[in-house]
Parts: sequence; structure tokens; C-alpha cells
Amino acid sequence: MTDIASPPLLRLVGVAKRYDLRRGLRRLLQPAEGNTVHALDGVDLEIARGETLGVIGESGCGKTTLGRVALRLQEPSAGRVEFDGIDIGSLDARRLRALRKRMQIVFQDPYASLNPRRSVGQIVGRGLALHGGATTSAERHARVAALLERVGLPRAAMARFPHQFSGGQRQRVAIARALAAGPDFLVCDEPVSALDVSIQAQILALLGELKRDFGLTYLFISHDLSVVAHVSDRVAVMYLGRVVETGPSRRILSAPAHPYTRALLAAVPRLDARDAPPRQRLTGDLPSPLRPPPGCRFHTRCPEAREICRRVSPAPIQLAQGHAVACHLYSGAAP
Amino acid sequence: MSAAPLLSIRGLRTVFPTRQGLVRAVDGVDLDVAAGECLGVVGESGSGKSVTFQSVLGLVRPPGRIEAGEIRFDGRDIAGLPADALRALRGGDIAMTMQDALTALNPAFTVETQIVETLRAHRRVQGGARALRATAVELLARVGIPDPESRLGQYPHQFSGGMRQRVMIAIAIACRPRLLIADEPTTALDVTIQAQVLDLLAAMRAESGMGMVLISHDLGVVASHCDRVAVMYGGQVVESGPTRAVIDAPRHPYTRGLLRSRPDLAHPERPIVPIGGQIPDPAAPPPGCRFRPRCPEAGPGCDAPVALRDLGAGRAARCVRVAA
Repeated sequence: MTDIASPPLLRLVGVAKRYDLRRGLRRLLQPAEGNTVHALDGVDLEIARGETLGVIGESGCGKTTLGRVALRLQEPSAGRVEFDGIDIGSLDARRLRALRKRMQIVFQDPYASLNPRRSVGQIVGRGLALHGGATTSAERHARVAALLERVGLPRAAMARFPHQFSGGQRQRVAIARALAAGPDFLVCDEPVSALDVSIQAQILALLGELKRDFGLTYLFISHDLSVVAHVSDRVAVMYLGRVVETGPSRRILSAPAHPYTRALLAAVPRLDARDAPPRQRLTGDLPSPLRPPPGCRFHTRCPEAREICRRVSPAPIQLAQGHAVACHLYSGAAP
Repeated sequence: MSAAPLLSIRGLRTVFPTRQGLVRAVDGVDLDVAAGECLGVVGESGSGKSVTFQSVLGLVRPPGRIEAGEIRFDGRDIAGLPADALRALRGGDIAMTMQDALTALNPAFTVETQIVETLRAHRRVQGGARALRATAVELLARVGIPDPESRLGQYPHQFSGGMRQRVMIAIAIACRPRLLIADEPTTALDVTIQAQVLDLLAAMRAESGMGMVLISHDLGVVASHCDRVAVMYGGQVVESGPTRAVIDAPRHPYTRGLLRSRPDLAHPERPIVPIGGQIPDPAAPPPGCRFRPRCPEAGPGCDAPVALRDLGAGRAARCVRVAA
């Protein structure tokens, strides 16, 4: 997958993120165990230039933290994030800001992510100004207008404020703001989850066009497997802070290997029951990320758990080109 | 459908006065739910799907009001019922579960208090506190909450999202309602938990023979659990019929648009086709067909008001271009 000629655009190596919930003196008085959220735990991922990597998982699996750590919006507790060969953890604030031109994010909630007191023109223009895209105000005005038109909003939108737009239109504004910096990498964190079905399709189509036109690379985070499968070249399935399976989208859909991936696929409501794989209902709730189970994190809900799963954390096993799974079921079956 | 339906809504219009003018959130809705049947109601935000059933339960907050129409439950018109008569009906013969269990449940009281309160209000259990508690334990066990005895004394925040939804379902079925209205019961839940809750609702219905309305924005959820479906848009029902038939051969352009704009796991290569434009402003809906401004098939005649027309085989559509 990776050769020297074309290194991945983004690479995560052994990335972990822990949140210590103890504050002040409690750090001395209370044990770390049971008071630390293990949001990410030993995550290795690569995204090739021009690729869309979909990250799928349920609440608390760490997918949002993953997106934030990938942009160094949050510092990882361990591990390394490389963007275009640069270890972004080593950069000082000035050089990091310069690099941020190339890496942007679109958030889930377009009601919370846009400043209600700034006009759309100011919101999008600020991206341009920060990253030195336009020098004179006339130039900036023209660039903002062009960006808005590119995302399907009228020029007149510039003078208006976020509350005057619907959710889908706001998400277009958020996308225009991200594009203003001229990025080549975009993290889309649940960009369509807050939108109605008919509007969701519009935004997905727009993201597809922009990717083609600007040669973008996406890290596309969602809880909705149908959406992820539709937009992604490759998919990474996460459970409680770990990546349990990665592979080409088609292969994940047609030959899911991890019991969790299989259960996720079976749980998606289908229009035609005949399309649904045999039911494999999971029982029980997600364990708390404060006290993740030992061994394989999925063993408490796994229909195929064995003795070893309770003790030993499974390492990823390569099943086929680009398809890897972290599950003891396959430990004897490595090629 | 020979027997009178359990719930019958005719020409329902629910309005909200706003500064922008009178919003007709529900505008001429006709719906029937037979005993033991599951009706799916599908629509996007502002389609009027929730307000329709808030109207049924008398839960429309003033200044909103039911302006016209008839709501018959078991043959009795309940649209104009006084508050105390409605209160006797709510939670008794007709129950509703809300989308967000965390806000629907009272955070200041234990789960036991909230279940027992419902049982007391409707005097469905003979006996004293002990009998009420026993019934509450039984209800939690029925909705699949492990260790119900000790969970009973806990507060809503001590339950996970899926478990809270189960608690709310337990309260809703406490008085053995004949009609259960489930408003987006799984929207806030993860997909593996969603599957559990939908299975639970199906099991409850099979067990008790109650009628059910499943309100959802997701055709997929409705497809696997409902006998019939009604698709709503802009405060009106635009298409209704047996679920399988509507999904296999939708007659209204909006239903077709919804189906095409939904990514399908079974056919990931199939391009999704968005419906252009925006959901209409409820204070100023387009004249004639509400969907006309976004409809790829709109033509002459679409600017005149259109009624929901019977197409035979239990199907109906609100479109002038559909032949009966």
C-alpha cells in the first residue's frame, strides 16, 4: 500500500488519547484507574493522498477524538501523527498554524460551529485572512463570493447571519469556511448526521464534487454505516478506542471479518429484509470507556468470545491486501 | 378494513400562530390505525409527523391549537375532549414514547416513582404499595432490563441511552395501552442498541396485540417493522399504503426522491440522487402541491390544490400526475 514514491498523506502511529477526569488534589488522592477515559488506544492508520477513509463506530468509540488528534486540535497522550511526512507533534505554534492551511475540519453541528454574531461573509473571510489567501478587501470579497457559489449558496448570503439559514445551508457555509484556507486534507466529523435525509444527500453530493475538483483527501467520520460505505474508499471500524478492522469499503460490506463489524452490518435497518445478513443481535450495552474490559474490548458483547479473548488483546492480522482485522478468531488463519 | 379502525384521523389541521403568520403544521391529515397494526409515519423535519400525534394526545401547547378535523379513538371523537378526560386517556388507552428519554423522564425521581405514578393515576393495579412495586419490577423485566429489582431505585441518569429508552417503554406499556405511539424511539441510539429496542417494540406488540404508530425519519426503520406506511411532507400525507408496495413501487415523486437520496448498503455503487431545494417555509407554504418547488416531475396543474386520492389496493397518493 505504501511505497517510497507516494507516502501516505496522513499517518497515525500508535496514537493514544487518555482523559484524566481527576482535577486538582484528586490527582494525588484517587487512583488513575477508573478515573481515566481511554478514548484512543494504540491506533495505527494511514490515509493515501486523494483517498477517503471512512471511520465508523458507535458513541464512545473514539472516532471524534481521532479526527481531532489527527489535526492536533488535541495532543495525543502517546504515539505520533505525521502529515505529509511531517511529525505534527514536533511543530511549534507558528509552523503548526502554517500547516493548518492544508488541514481543515467540518463539524457535525452547523448550529454550534458557526459564530452567530458574525455574518457569513465574515465567517468565510476569516479563513482567507488567517491563511493569507487574499490581501485587499475587494479581493477577499470576490474570493468569498466565489467560494459561496462553489458550495451552492447565492452571493447575497455574505451579508446574512447563520440563524437565517437552514441546517443544510449552514453546513454549506461551514464547508466554504474550511475550503477558504485552500486545504488538501479535510476531516468531516459527522457532517450530515444533523440533517434531514433529502438534505443529507445534497451535502454528500457536494463533498464528492469538491473532492474531485480540488483533489481533496477526506477522513470521514460517521456512525452511519450506509453513509460511510457510500463515500469511502476504505473503512476503519472502531470500538472503544481501538481500530478492530480496516479494509476496502466493498470488502468490509461483502466480507466483514470482525464479529463487531458483522453485528453492525446486521443492525442497519434495510429497505428490503432480504438484503439483510443473518441476524446477529448484540446483547448488552457498550462498556464504559472509564473501565474498558481487558483483552479484546469487544469480548463482553461478542457472540464468539473465547477464553483467550478475555485475557489477550488481539493484534491486527492481515487477511488480504489492505484488509486487516484485530480478532483472535483469525490468529490461526494468517496467510 | 371492515371493522372500524382503532384510531381514525380525518381532515386534521393543527395551527401555531407565529410572528411570521399562522403556521399550519398539520394541514388536512387523514390516517387510520387498525387494532394490532403497526403504522409507520415517515417524514423530514417540519413534515408534521410529530404534531399530528401530539394533537391526538391533546399535547399541543397553546397558542397552538387544533383548528379543524376529527380524531376518533374507538369510534369516539377525542379532538375536543376536556383536559381531565384526555388525561384519563393518555397513558391509559393511548400511550406515547418520546424521542429523547433523558428529557422525557423526570431527573429528580427514581424510575420506581415514575412507573408507580402512572399505575396509580390509572388505577390499573389492585392492592397497595407492594403490589405496585411488584408490577413495576415485572415491567422492567419485560422490557429487558437486567437486575430489575435493584435498578428500580435508580434515577434516569444512572441508565444508559438504550436502557432509558426501555424505561420509557416500560412506563408507556404499564397500563396495557391499546395504542402505542412511538415518536422516533431509536433516533438517539446507536445502531446496535436501536436494533434491540425495535425488536423489543415488535415483541410487545405481538404479545399484547396493541396498535402501534412508529414515527421515524428513516424509511429503513419503518420498512422492517410496519405493515403500512404514511409518508408526510409539509404538514400533509403525500402517500400511504402497504409498506412493501410503497417501497417497491412508490407513486409520489417525494417518496421516490426520499428513496433515491438514501444511501443503500445493499447497493453501495448506486449513486444517491438528492432532492434539490429546501424544505418549504411552514409559514408560507407554496400554493397547490407542497412539493412542487422541489419536484422534478412538476408541470401544469401542480399549482392547484391536490387531494389525497385513493389508488386502490389500500394505496393513496397526493399527486395530480398519478393515475388511479
